[in-house]
Amino acid sequence: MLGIKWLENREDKWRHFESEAMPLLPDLFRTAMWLARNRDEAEDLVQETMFQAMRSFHSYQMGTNCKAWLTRILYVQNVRRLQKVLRLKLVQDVDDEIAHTIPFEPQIPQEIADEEVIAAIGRLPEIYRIVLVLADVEELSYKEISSIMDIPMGTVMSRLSRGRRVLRIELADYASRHGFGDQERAGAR
Amino acid sequence: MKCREFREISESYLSDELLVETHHQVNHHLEHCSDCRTDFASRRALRRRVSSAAVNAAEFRIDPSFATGLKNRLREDALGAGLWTKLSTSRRVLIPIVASLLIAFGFGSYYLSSLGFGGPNGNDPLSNGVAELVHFASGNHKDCALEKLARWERMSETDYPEKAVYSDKILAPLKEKYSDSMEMLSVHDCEFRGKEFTHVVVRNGRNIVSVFFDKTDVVAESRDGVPGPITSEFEDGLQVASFAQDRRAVFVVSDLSETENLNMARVLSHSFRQTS
Repeated sequence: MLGIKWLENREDKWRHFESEAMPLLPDLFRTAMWLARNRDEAEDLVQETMFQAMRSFHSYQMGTNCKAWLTRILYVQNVRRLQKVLRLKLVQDVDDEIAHTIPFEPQIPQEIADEEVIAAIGRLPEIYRIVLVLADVEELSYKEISSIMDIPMGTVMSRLSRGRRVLRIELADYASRHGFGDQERAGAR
Repeated sequence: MKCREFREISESYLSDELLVETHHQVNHHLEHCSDCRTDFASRRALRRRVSSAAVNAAEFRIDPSFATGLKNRLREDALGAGLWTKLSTSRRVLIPIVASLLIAFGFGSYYLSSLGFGGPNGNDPLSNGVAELVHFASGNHKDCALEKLARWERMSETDYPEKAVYSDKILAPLKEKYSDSMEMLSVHDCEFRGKEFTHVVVRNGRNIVSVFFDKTDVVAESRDGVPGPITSEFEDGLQVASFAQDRRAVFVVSDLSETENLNMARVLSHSFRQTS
C-alpha cells in the first residue's frame, strides 16, 4: 500500500509539473536565447533548468506565477554557467555613463523591420537587455524581476528605463541612417 | 499632475505598475496634455514592437523535436529512472517486491497459458501489431483533424450512415464521463500514407480528440471478452492510446496529458465491450 501511495505521489507530482511548467517551455527558451545568444547553449540551459525545476517542484507554490519561478531558476543556472565557463564579473557601473549620453526621446518610425528591433535589443548592454526582455517581452512584474535577478526594485526600474531609452536611440539612429523617420532630431544629436 | 511628474513615473505607467489612484491621475493628465500623450503613445508603440518582434522571431522559437525529447526525458526521470534508483537503494523494499513479481509472473503465465493465450497471438499490443501503427494515427490526427479543423466546425455529419452508431459508442460515454458540451465534429473515412481509418473527431472545449478505427490491418485480440491492455505512446508531440477491439486497432489521439488521454481510451474501451 505504501508503495502504491508513493507511486501515485510521483505520478501526481509529474502531472502537476506537466500541466504547470511544460506549457511554459517556449517562453523559457526565448528567455534562454536572450541570455545565451546561441541555440545549443540555450537548449542546454533550458534542459538544466527544467530538470532542476522538477527536482525542486515541491518548493513551487501553486497559484503563483510559474513563469517567474522557472525564469528565476533559468537565470541562476545561467549565472553559474557564466561563472564556470568565463569567470565573468558583471559590470555594474555602466548605467550612469550610458544614461548621460542620451539627450532626448526620439520617435520610432513604423518602417523599421522586426529583425532590426531584435538586433537593436541584442546590442543593448546585458544589464539592460535582460531587464527589458523580462519586462517588455515576458511581461513579468518589477517585483518578479527583482526576485529573479536578486537586485532591488529601484534598480529594475532604472535599468528598464535606461534600456528603453537606449533602444529608442538605437532605432532612431538606424532610421535616420536608412532615410526614414525623424532625421532632423536624430541629426541634432 | 504636471508634465514633469508624469515623466518621472511614465515608465512605471507603461509597465502597468502604478497604484490605481496614481494610474487614474496619469490617465487624467494624458487626456488633457497632448505633448505627454504623443510621447507616451510613442513609448507604448515601441514596447509593443519589442514584444511582438521577439515573440514572433523564428530564431527564438523552440525546436519541437527538442521540446518533445526534453519532455520524454523529464517524464522518464520523474516516473521511471527515479523509481529504480529509489528501489535499488533499499534492500528491504526491493527484495519483497522482486519476490512478489516473480511469484505473480509464474502464476500469471500459468493462468494465461491455461486460457490459450501467449506466443504470437497473445494480447500484448506490442506484439500484436498495434504498436507499429501508432505513428499513422498521430500523423493522421495532425493531417486531418487539426489541419482541417476549420472545416469540421462547419461540417455536418448527417451524410455518414453510421453516425448514430458512433454517437452511441463514442460520444455518449464521453459525455457521461466528462461533459455534456462534448460534440462530435466529424465521422468519415480517411487515408494516411496508405492506411485507411474510420475517423471520429470529437471536441471538448478547446481540445480536439481523434478516435481512429484501423480498416486495413487485422490485429490479434484477447478472447472470451477479456479486455486487452491499453498502451500509451508519446508520438510526434501527441498522446496516442491504443487497444484492440473486434480484431481492429483503435487509437485515441490528442494533445491532452498522458493520463487524460489514457482515461479517455479506457472509457471508450469499456463502452465498446458493452455495446459489441
